[in-house]
This record gives sequence, C-alpha cells and structure tokens, in this order.
Amino acid sequence: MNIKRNNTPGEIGPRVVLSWILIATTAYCFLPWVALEYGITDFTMDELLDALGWNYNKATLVVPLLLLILVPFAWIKLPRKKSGWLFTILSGAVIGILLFSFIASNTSMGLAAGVILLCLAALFAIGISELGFQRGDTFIAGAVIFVVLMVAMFIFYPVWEIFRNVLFNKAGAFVPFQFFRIVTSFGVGRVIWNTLRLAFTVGAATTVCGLIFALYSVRATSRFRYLIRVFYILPIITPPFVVGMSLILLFGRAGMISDGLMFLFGPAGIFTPEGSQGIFERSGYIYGFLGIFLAQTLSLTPVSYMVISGMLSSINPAMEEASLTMRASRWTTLWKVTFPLLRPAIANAFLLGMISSAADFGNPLVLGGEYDVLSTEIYFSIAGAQLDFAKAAALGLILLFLSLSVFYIQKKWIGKKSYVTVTGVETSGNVTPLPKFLQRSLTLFISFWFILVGIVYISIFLGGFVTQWGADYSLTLSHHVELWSKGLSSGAWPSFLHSLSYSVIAAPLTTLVGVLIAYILTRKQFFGRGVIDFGTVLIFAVPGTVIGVAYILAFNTAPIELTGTAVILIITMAIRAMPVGIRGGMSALSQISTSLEEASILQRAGSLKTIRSVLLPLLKSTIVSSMAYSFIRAMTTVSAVIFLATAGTDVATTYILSRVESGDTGVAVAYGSVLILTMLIFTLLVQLVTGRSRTDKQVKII
Amino acid sequence: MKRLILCILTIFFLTCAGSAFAKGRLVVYCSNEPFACQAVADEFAKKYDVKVQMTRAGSGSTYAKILAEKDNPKGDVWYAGTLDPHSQAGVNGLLESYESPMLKEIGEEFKNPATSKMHHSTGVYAGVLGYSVNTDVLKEKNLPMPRSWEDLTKPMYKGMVQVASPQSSGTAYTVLATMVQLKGEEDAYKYLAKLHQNINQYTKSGSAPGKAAARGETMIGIGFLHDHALQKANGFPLELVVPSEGTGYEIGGLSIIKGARNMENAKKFVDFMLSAEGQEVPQRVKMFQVPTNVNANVPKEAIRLDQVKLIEYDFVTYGSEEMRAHLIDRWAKEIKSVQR
Repeated sequence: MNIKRNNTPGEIGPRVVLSWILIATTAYCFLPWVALEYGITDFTMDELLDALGWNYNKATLVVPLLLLILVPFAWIKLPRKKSGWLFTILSGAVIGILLFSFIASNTSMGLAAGVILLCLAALFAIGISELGFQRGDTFIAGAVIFVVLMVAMFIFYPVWEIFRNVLFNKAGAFVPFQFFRIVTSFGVGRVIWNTLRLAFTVGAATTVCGLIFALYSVRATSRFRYLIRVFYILPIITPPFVVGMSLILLFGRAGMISDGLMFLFGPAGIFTPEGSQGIFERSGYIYGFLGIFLAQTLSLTPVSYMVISGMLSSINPAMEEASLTMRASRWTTLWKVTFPLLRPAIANAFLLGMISSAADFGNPLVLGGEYDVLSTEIYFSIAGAQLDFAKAAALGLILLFLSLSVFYIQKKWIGKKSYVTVTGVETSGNVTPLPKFLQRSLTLFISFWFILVGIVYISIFLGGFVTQWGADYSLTLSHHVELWSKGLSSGAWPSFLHSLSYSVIAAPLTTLVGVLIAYILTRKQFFGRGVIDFGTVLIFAVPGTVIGVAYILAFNTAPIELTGTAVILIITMAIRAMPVGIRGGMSALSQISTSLEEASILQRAGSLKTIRSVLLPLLKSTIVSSMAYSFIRAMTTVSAVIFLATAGTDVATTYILSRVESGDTGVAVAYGSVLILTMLIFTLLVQLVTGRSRTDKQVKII
Repeated sequence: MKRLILCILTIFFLTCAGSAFAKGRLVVYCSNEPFACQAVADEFAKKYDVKVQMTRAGSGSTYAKILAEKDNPKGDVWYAGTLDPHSQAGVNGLLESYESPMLKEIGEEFKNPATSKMHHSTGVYAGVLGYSVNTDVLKEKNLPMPRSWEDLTKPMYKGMVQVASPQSSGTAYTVLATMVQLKGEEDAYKYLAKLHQNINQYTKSGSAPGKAAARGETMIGIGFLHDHALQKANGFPLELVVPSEGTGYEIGGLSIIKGARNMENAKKFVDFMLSAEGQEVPQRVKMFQVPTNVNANVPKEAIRLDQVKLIEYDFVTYGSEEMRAHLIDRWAKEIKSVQR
C-alpha cells in the first residue's frame, strides 16, 4: 500500500522536504545574512563573521527555528489538506516576516537571506500543491512560483521603480505632473521627434533592403545569392556599435574615404582646376542623422531579410504559376500576386526595424554628434553631470511606451493576418524567377552593398593594426600589445574574462528559465498565467537602456542592493537574452504533440520525470542552440550593461565604448575585431556540433 | 556535477582566504582619467599594504553618488575632478574637515580653495584651460595660427572648433565660467553665440575635443591643456595654445567623505596624495597636470601656472549650484538651440 502511495504523480517524499530545510539552515549558518559591505567576492573573515545571521542579530534565529518545526512533518502523514495548509501558512509567514524586517530596517539582504527565500518558496510550492494547485504536481507548482517570483523581481519591480521615480519626487511626495513638466521641458520634444524620425526612416530602409535581399536570395537565378545566406550571421556576432565605429574610420573628417575624396576633389585635389576651392571639403557629415541611419541600416537589414525571406519561401509557387499561365507578365505577377502575399512580413519587418532602431544605443552614442535620441539622452541624464533620475525615468517611460505599442500592433494586427499558403498538400511547381531587368539592377545594388559591408569589416580588422587611422597609416602591433600582453590584470583581459565568465553563467540560466516559461505558457492553464504572459511581453519589448535605468533605480538600495556586483550583470545579460530561450522553447514545444507527455503521465510518471525523460531529449538541440545564441547575445550586449558595469566589473563592450569615448579608436577597433573573431569561431563551432540546418532555423527564430 | 560544485567552492574559499591578509581597506572614488586613477590606487595599495577598491566616475556623478549614500557612506575618499562638485559636497555637509600635515608643502591658493572654507577639500593638481590646434590640418587648409579666444570666432575657422557641452561636462562649464569672468555675462554670451557659428560639434566628454584634434577630426579642440599634452606626448601634431586674453584653470579636489568607514586610511591617502611622491605618480602614466606640492617635480610637458596669463578664477561664486544652473540653462536656451 505504502509503496503505491509514494508513486502517486507529484507526491513528495520526506527527502525533498528535508533537503530544502537542510539547504536553508546551512545557508543560515555559513552564508552572510546581510549584504557584505565590500561585496561577496571580496571580504575578510571578520566581515563575514559579522554578517552571519546568528552573529548579526539573535532575533534572526527565529527563521531556522520556525523551519525546524516542519522537520517532523516530513514523516508524519497528515491528511493532504492539513499538511498543505501547514506548509503554505508557515513558509508564507516566514517569507513575510523576512521581507518585512529587511524593508523596515532598511538593510540589504545577504546571500543567506536570498537562499532561504528560495527554499521557503519551494516549501510554499509543496504546500499549495498539496492543496490542489496544478493538480497536486509539486514540480509544476514550484516552477510556476519560481517564474512568477523571477518575473516580479526582475521585470515588474524595476519597471514599477521607473514609474515611482516619475510619479514621486525625492522626498516621496506625489507629483503627478512631474512627467508632463519633464516632457514639455526644453529640448525633450526634439529628442522624441529625432527618435521617431530615425526609427521611421530606418524601418523603411531596412524593409526595402531586406525585401531586395529576400527576393534575390529566394528567386534570383544567379549564384551570387548563396553569399546572402551567409551574411546574416555577421550582425549577430558583431557588437552593435562596431559598425558605427568603422563608419567613423571611413567617412569621418579624417576618414579614409574623406581622405580619398579630398585627394581627388579637395582644394588641392588632382581633379580640381587651378585656383578653385574644389568641390569637396572635410566636414562632420557622418556625425548625426546620416551616420546613425547608415550604421543602423547596415546592421539591421539582415533582421528584416530573415523575416521576409522566411515568408517568401513559404509562398506556394502554384499561385504565381497560375498568374503566369493567365498570361500575366512576370512584373504583374510580382506586383499583383507576390507582394500582396508578402504584406504581413513586410509590415512585420518594418515594425521590427523601428523598434530596433529606437532601442539601439551604441550607434547613436558613437556617431550621434548632436543628434540626440531617447536612448542616449537617457544614458546622459544619468551618466553625465546632470544625474537626473526623474528625467531618465520619464524618458525611459516614453521609450517603453513606444516599443510596447509597436509590439502590441505587431502582435494584434499582424499576428492574426497570416497569408501563408501552407495547406498541408505538398507544394509543387517551380518558383518564378525575377524579371530580367529587375534581377540585373538588384545584382548591382547587392554588389554595391557587399562592397560596402566588406570595406566596413576590412576597416575594422585593419584599424587595429594601424598606428593612427587618418594620421599615420604605418602598420603596428602596439594596439594589440597594449590590449593582450600586459598580464591578466590589465589591458583588455579583465573585461574580456568578465564578459566570458558572466556570459557562460548567464547562458544556461536564461535558457533554463526561458524554456521553463515556454513550457508553462504552452502547456499549462492556471490562475495567474496572465501575469507570466504579460511578463514575457515586457521581457520582449523593454529596450536595453530602459532595463539599465530600471535596474539602477531598483537595485541600488536596501533591501536588494546589487549595483556594482557581478550578480546584477549576469542577471541583466540573462534577461536580455531570455527572448532567445522563450522563442526557441515555444516553437519547439508547439511542434511536439502533447500526446507524448500524456502517455507518460498516464504511466504514473510525475511531470518532473516526464520532462526529464520525454521532453528534454526532444528539446536537446533547441536547448543547445539557444544556449549558444544566448551566450553570443550576452557577449555583445551593451545598452543595459553600460549602466551597471563599474570599474571592477567592466565587460568587453563597455571597455571598448569607454576607449571610443576617450578617443582611442585604434585600441577600440583592435578589441572589437578580436571580439568579432571570437564570436565567429564560436558560431562555426556550434554549427559544426549541432549541424547546420538546425542552427539556421534557430537563427531565423531569433 | 558534484565535483564541479566542490571545485568552485574550494576556489571561492581560497580567494576569500587570500583576500583576508591585507591591513585594512580604502574605497577611493576617483574622477581622474581611468589610467591615472589605477596608477594612484596601485601605488597607495603597494606602499601601505592596504586593499584599495577604486570606483571611477565623472565628478558630477560622484557628487550625486556621495549625496545618495549620505546616511550610509560607502566611499572613504574622493580624488580628483573639478573643484566645483567638491565645493558643493562640502557646503552640503558631506565631507570631513581635515588639515593634513602635508599642507605646509602645498601652494597657498590650493590649501583651502573650496567654498565652505572649512578645509573640506585640498587642491591636488591644477590645469590650464586653452585649446590645441592640429598643425597638419592647419597646413592643409593654409590658415593662420589662432592665438586668442577672439581669433576662434573668425569666419575662416567655421566648422573647425570643437568643445564639450556644459550640460554634460565640467570642463565645458569651466570654459563658460571663464568667459563670463573674462568679459562679463552679457558680452560672454555674445561671444559664445559668435563662437557657436564655428563649432562643429558639442561633445559629451570634456577630454574628447583634444583627442579629436589629435586625430584631425577637428582642427581646434578646446579643453584642459594637460589632456592635450598627453596626446602631444603620444606624437600627434598638436600645438597647445594659451589664449592671449588670459584664461581660467581648474583645481583638482581631494576630500575625505564624512562618516568614512576607513577614516585612518583615508587620511593616510590624503597625506600621500599631497606629498611630492604621491603627486608625481600620475606623471608616470602621462597625466601632465601641474602638481600643487611645491616640492614636486613639474613635468616638462605641463603648462606651469606662473608662466601664463591667468584670470582670478572665482571658485567660490562659480562653484555655487545656483550660478551653475543659471549659466548652463542660459547656454542651452540661447546658444545651443540656435541654427548654424
């Protein structure tokens, strides 16, 4: 009898309860109860002893004592309801006491408090599952509680802090009109207008270019098109501002192309008539709208290419064949049949381009000059001499609103209009080639594009080996020597190792949570699911700069003080890369029939067992590739981490940006090229291990 | 998996044990260039066997940080950065009064320069304001060398002058305050409006124009000349100009934060940074500010205060918050927004 009862799905034995209590008590005994004054990675024994709970304040002994009450109930079999209430109420109460005491005394939580809270959440999950939540499935109950806690703590709470800083002043008084005062104050209107103008033009340009590339790669008959399929990997592995940097090398006042034009058409140029002033003069035309526009179009077009080409290749060729057999010309067919079918993809690409442009931080920072956009303005209201948190929060709110509304349009309006002509019947027929004239002009356009991209990347790699771009083109190794050969504690190594280690920790974390969220959202129905759903929407839509500001506001003071630590950077990277895991998980799970899991559940396996032995093997490739791309994303992200990285925790991207800011372009480009190479080798390795087709798919999902 | 965790834990505790040996700690908030901050922190740590934690940020941000941490100070000592924010911190009661025994070696005007006059801050270096000209570009354009502030407004230099925006940079605020003290407020803004026509870009960072001039991205860059001297020492074709009408200068502040957790070490650090030995540290990493210790070696690349025409810079008046807000606001409204 007894054995059978232990086998009930989701039933927990005494070992589970005991191990959570054991972890909590161990943490209480040996880990710091309050935050260490100088951080967790750097403390002396005395400081650690002072911070331990039993040493810090005897009143904290209440927590392990209350936990010990639960120990006997690991064996005592109460009726389900009763033990459920016991666990729920007791652990809930301890959580409450803990949080209240930290908030009331305005002290920062230490590692022990965090671990104990996690254990308490687990015990709470055991309690409510006994009460019938998730049909008594403890693992799922625990997962739901964990995800809700995580979303609440790292998404809702920081975003609320933004609202709080806008709605309340420093003294805590309610100032409902502060937002309008800031928004209508001098210069802010121009910044918003700048952002919108840039987002619109970049959205339009990337869509047009993406369409051209998609048409060419799917429909053209030239061999050239295979190149296109390779080129979308480049922007994924390139940190966002590196393209901007190379534009300075090329088109800046002392840039290579400016030099060339100067040589040909300048006041003393060879094509300039004697005595005339010449038609070209050095100027800073690249700093401002033109420069940002060019850099963003170059780096965002592949995204819109992926969106459009995905849909273009799923169009049933029979439709176009029908049009052709009705004696429509290729032009008419393209115009009247293909384009209308592509409309949702085009709109989608446009909106994606818009969001990415508005959220981009690196290129406007490097190239902006006096063209201020929201993301840079947010940064400088905190990092500059102004230090105006209310302004940063208000601008962040506008940017958040902007990207949420675009996201909403995308989801509600385009999500429902799918013209994909997949009918389940095998599609047959040959794809219609492009009209001859169109193909020729597209070839011209694309060759020009490839030349430009080629020059951009060549200039990045060469720039690291040139003494001083623009002034002295003699070859040198000094930049790389400065970066890489001054020992592990100076030059580029600390930031590079930080980047690597934080990303290595963040990637599995974010994949785990992302796939868990995907699993809950696709498989489970329960009260409060909307919270997680909305949380994921925010994870997708919140721009990096807004996350940065929100985290600074939320985690700078007690009870959760994380700024300046590596922990906050890892969390930021994980959150920024989470869409990869969620999307990958969702699309993989939607292809796996639920009947497999049902079969497993019917055989009386708990859901943990089901996930482990049924879903995980099926999801393996998704997990591996989404881990890889989370890693790449974490390595190249800049917009959020730039707010949070400090001298002791700087990462590769922030280090490069600080060198750009202080004018050491050579060093910055040298570092950037090494970073790109590292990512490229890593990507190739991943493709080798997981197989090409899968990664291709994964890239498209991202 | 278990072995991995064990391994990580062992490393963790070993590093903890390793860090447990140093004699005390010091948290330095530093507003100098990053490499100079690092050099100073390393030198002090080595000499006194103290574990130094250094956080670098601009002087404005550092001031705000100290203000935010008023009830629970995290930093011990604040090194470098323009004096104004140090002054504000002193007036607002965020700093500790300390008369270092080393003051006897410090030049008279640097002993107690801050607004509060309570020995909250000491001058640790000085730097002259001016501009530098890229001589290669000058030759290419075949233009005469500018020598004064007035020269910069000549139409032939249109689009060739770069300076930081006072909204984000303390350096640029010093430019603004210098002009106001040189010409009176009304004339100063008339001058700035004329200069605005020649500006190609207002940068965010105060040291950026000097670096842009070095690379030829602009012909003329306005800023503190010690920043530019660094570029010149690196071999760039720059000529440093101290404008003939006279110019302003900055004093780098050095203050102890009130309620510092490591007060003894903070005082040791101040004594060290005021000694000739401490002040010569930044020179070694090519930071050519003028030391305030009369016995310290003045690097030959630095522009000595006694050799150039300086204005009587009023650190008390122009360091006040109201004056600062007023001048910057007026600049943003009347100068920055004008079309070129």
